[in-house]
Parts: sequence; C-alpha cells; structure tokens
Amino acid sequence: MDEKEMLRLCRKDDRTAQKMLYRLFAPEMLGVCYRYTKSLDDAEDVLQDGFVKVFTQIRQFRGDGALAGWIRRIMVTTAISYLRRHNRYRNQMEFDTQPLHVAVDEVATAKMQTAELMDLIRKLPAGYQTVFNLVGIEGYDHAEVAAMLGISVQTSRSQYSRARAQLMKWVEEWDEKTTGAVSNNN
Amino acid sequence: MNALDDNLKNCAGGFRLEPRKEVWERVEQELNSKKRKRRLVWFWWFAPLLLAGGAVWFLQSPSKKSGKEVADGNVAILPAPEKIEPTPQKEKETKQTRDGKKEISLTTTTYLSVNNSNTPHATPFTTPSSGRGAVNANRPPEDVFFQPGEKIPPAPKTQSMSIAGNAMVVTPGNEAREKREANTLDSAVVPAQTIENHIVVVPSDPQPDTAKSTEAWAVLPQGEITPVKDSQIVAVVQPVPLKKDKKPSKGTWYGMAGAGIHNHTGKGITLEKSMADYNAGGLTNNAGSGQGNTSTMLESPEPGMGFMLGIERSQPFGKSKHWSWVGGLHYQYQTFKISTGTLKDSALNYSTSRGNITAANYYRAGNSEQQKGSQHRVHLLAAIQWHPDKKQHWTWQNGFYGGVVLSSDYLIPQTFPRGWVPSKGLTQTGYAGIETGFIFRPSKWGAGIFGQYNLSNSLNITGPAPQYWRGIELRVQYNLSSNFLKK
Repeated sequence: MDEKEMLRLCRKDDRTAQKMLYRLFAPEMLGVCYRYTKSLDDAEDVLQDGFVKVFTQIRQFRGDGALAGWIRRIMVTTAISYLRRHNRYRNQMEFDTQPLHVAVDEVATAKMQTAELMDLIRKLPAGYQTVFNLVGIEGYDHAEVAAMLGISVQTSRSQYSRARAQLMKWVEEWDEKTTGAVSNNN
Repeated sequence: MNALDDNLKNCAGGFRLEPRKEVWERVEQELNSKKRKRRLVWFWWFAPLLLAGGAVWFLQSPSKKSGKEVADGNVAILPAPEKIEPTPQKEKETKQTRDGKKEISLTTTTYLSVNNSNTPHATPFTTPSSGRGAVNANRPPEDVFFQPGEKIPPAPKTQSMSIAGNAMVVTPGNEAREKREANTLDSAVVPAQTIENHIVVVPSDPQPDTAKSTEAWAVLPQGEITPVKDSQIVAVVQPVPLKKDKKPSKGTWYGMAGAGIHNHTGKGITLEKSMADYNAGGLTNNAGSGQGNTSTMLESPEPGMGFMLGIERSQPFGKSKHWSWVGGLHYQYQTFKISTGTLKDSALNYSTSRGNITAANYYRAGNSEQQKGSQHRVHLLAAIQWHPDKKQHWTWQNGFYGGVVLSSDYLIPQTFPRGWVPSKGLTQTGYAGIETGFIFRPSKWGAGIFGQYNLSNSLNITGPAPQYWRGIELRVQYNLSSNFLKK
C-alpha cells in the first residue's frame, strides 16, 4: 500500500491503514518525543496523544508537504503542551533573560554516539531542553520559537545559547573522560 | 549554523526508538472512545429535539379516557320478571361541546331503538363512532340498519373499548334525529333505564305512534338484538363507579424556542496558581496589592452563542388573573470561550528573584489559559409570573432553575497558540441559576426577553477554573393549550 492509498483509508478511519501509518512513523516520532521528555513513559504518552491527534486531524492534511514533517510538527506541539500540562515539567519551563556565553570544543560532538548525545540533551532542564530541541534539532528560527512559547526572541536566543553551551560543556567532559580512559588503557 | 549544529541535528534528529506494543493499543482504544463520543455528541444534539417533539405530541394527543366512560362488564340476557316498577326516567345528560355538538352520557340513560312494524327497516342503530364514551349526537345512523334478530357485526376493538359493555344502544336523542327518524323512517328512539344493575326497556313511551303495535329491540353489546315488550330486563349491568370529570384546567402549556448571548467568566485560578508559584519559591515577595477583589482579564472573553428549547406550564394562583406560577423544562446549548487564568489584581507587580513580574509578563509567562467549548444544559424551572393586565398580554416572570450540564471543551494554553489540548471528554455536573424576563403574548404567539445569571461555581472542566456565566435570551413562545382544546 503506497502512502496516498494509506492516507485515503486513514481519512476514512480505516483501522488497518491507521496501524500501518503508525508502524511506519512511530519509531521516528518516539525519537522526537523522547528528546522533549525525561522518561520513556512520558515520551510514549506524548506519542499516544500525538497519534490520536494525527488520526483525528488527518483530514486537514492536504498533502502540500511531506507527511512525516506534518506528523513531526504535531508531535512537537503535543510534546510542548504535555510539558506545560504536567507539574513535573512546568516548574522547569522558566525562561531567564540573562544570556550566558560559554566557550566549548565543537569537535567533540562528532565523536559521540546518538544515544549518548540524547541522554545529554535530556539532562537539560525542560525549558532549555525545549528551546534547544526546537531551534537546534527541529530547525525553527527564534521568532517562531518565541511565538510558540510566548517568550521574546531575545529570551529564545539566550535560552538556546545557554543550553548549547551547557551541552558542549558536558560533551567536553565526556570527551575528556573517554580520552583519559583510552590513554589509561594504553 | 555551524558544524556543531549540523552534527547535533544529524545526530539527534535521526534518533529512533521502537515503542512498546501497548502504545498502539492505547491509541486504538482512544480512537474508539472518540468515535463513541462523537456519537454521543450527535445524541445530545437530537435529544432536545426528541424531548420537545415528545412533549408536543403528549400535549396534542387526546386524552385516553373521559370521565363519562363506563367499564366493560359481563352482560347476560335474563328472563323478564313478572313485574318491575321502573324508576322515573332520568333526564338525558347532555352537554354542549365547544363546537356546538351535544354529547350524551351513556351512564344514566341508554337508548333502544323501537321498531315500527310498518317499516321495512327495523331498528335504526348506529355503532358508536366517537371514541370517548360520549356519543356525537350529530352523527345519524345513516346506513346502518338491521333486521330483527340480525347479528350486528361487532364494533372494532377501539370502539368496543370506548362504548363499554353496558352501552347497549348508542343512538342519539337529539331533536333533529328524532324528527327525521319519526318522519322519514317512521321509527323512534326511546330510552332505557338502569335499575338495580338491570337495563329496563320501556318501549311504549314516548312515541305512542310507533310504540303501540311495535316491539322494542334492545341491542346488546355483543351485537345481538333482542325483542322487548313493555318493561323488561334485558341485560345485567355491572355496576361501575364513574370517574369524576376533572375540572377543566385553567393552566396553559407553552412551547418555546430562543437564542441568546452568554458571557462566561473564569474565576479563582490565579489565586491558586499564584500561591502555588509563591510556595514553590518562584515569587519571593508579593509587593503588589495582593490577591485583590478585582477580577481583571487581560483578554476579554468572547461571548458565547446559544439556543434554547423549552416547555412551560403556567397555572394561575386560584382565580387570580394577575399572578401565576410556572413550571418548565428547558434545554440550552451554549458555546463559550473564556480566559480561565484571570489575574485577580490589575496592579499586579510581584518582586521576584528574577526581577519584577508585572501583570503583562506574568500573563505571557504562561500563567493564563483559555478554554473553548460547548455545553448542553437541561434544567427545571420554577417561576412566578405577574400579569399587569387582566388579559395577560404582558407578563413579568422571575424564576429559579437547576439542572445538569454536560460540557465538552478544549484547553488553549496561552503560551502555545498553535496547540490545543483536546477535550478529555464530556464532563457532567450540576448547576443552578436565576432568571428574569418580560413576555408579550398578544395571541397564541408571544415573545420575551430574559436575563439569566448562573449561580453555579462548581463547573470544573479540563482547566481548573470554576465558571460563572450571564446571558440574555430572546424567546418565542407558542400557546399549546389552546391548540389542544380545539382538537
């Protein structure tokens, strides 16, 4: 079944087609949700809410862009709503106006594995994590992020900058640790 | 974008994880429940229409039994006793109906047709045509004639039910019919009486011309005709207590429909949320005027639209033409959009560790939310009416209502205008309120304007905000009772 046919059936609430679509995109989307949350359970909750939205709103998808991109946007907004709704994240969704500049070694990230980098991103406080995900990974510009989060562009910039700096610091530490371990072994 | 960002994007952007099987099962479950909810929403759209339709049908349908009915009973032909003294004949109980027709009560006087031997048509007889135990006197037995001894076909069930077992002959006794029958058919109608549970026929009176050489024919409920001479018992009448006629009600039923604007207000959330933030250390000092009494919304609520359907009964207090009480059942549908995160004090100025938080940036920081949705309300109304004029064209109505509301809503986190948090489903709760209104009813149709104030503060839907609302409704009323009586 090609994507068009699957979409057509999904619009008719065909459960088999919906399951196929879910199977096709769920792993990628769970990766997205995982980046915004602190636990796999939460990520799966977001995934669940997101796919329910996808299936209830799929009639609104006109096929102008890629289906994956459309689903991804839904997952991101669902994740943000989820963070706002739950107290354990809400307190961390604070946005400071003070920018922070930290010099880091940008080469170290290339050595990291994806899972390790994901863990570091998820160690960030929820507010920084969200801005970093939106700007650094999803590719939204600061004006868009500011509109999404109801903050100023300057705040978005500084949040991203601080998150990125913090992340690089951790990467550097990780690099030193692993390099040290390798030299010791030698 | 530099190499680092590219690395991050490529690395983290392509991250994949396989979800557990239960996730799909939960998605499927939620989709199924949404489907059921959609059906439920349709039901709640149609339920009020069905309710109103049912009420109208109930009001328009004729009453099943009148007080003039007698019940079915076993009837047996008995041999005539040697002598029976008939009691003085009772007056025929006739009653003028609204349309000028006469109704004859079957319970005190029963009629038998008397055969004139000179006429080939024996007994002019009509099966009862009215369905209520009273016979329409303007309906002569035009084509229904039977020979003596002839078996009369049983009446349809509905009619046999309505004439009751003891109603032997159902011929009208009005003047026009007597005259017509006497002159053209040469037959007459004479009454029978009920004495001590027996039907007694007195055929010689009051038509001497027809009675002198004739025999009377009693028509039994089973459809048999039996000859009767002089005074004779022809059937046993089961004594059946009569139902008392209800006094005609002076009350009036009204059906109504209306539309209005309703303004919903969220209250209370800011206090809770501010205090929660305060306790969590977010607000280190409340330098403003605190949680004042002013309920200031930074964003005005949009008035919700709605419509209503209802049925009411207005009943005068005794014989008063100026005062009535009203009972009614209303259905309302309303949409709403409210800012639940209202700031309690417009002069908000919190001093915090992160600097001052003013009303504007506190709101923008995400401490306010909006709700949008719709509600189905069903309530009972009790009200008092005052009519300044005796014709009751004008009415001032004040009432109290209480009922059940079903809400379906979306939460709109203010800080994420792109995202709507879907409804958690229909939420049911009780509510109560007061209303006042003026009605003008120059004819069966009338119109009124009503103001409502909801006193309920317990509506807790997706967001945490209780809800109050006020509304203005325009209603059109129709007097169902006059229509009903005409039928």
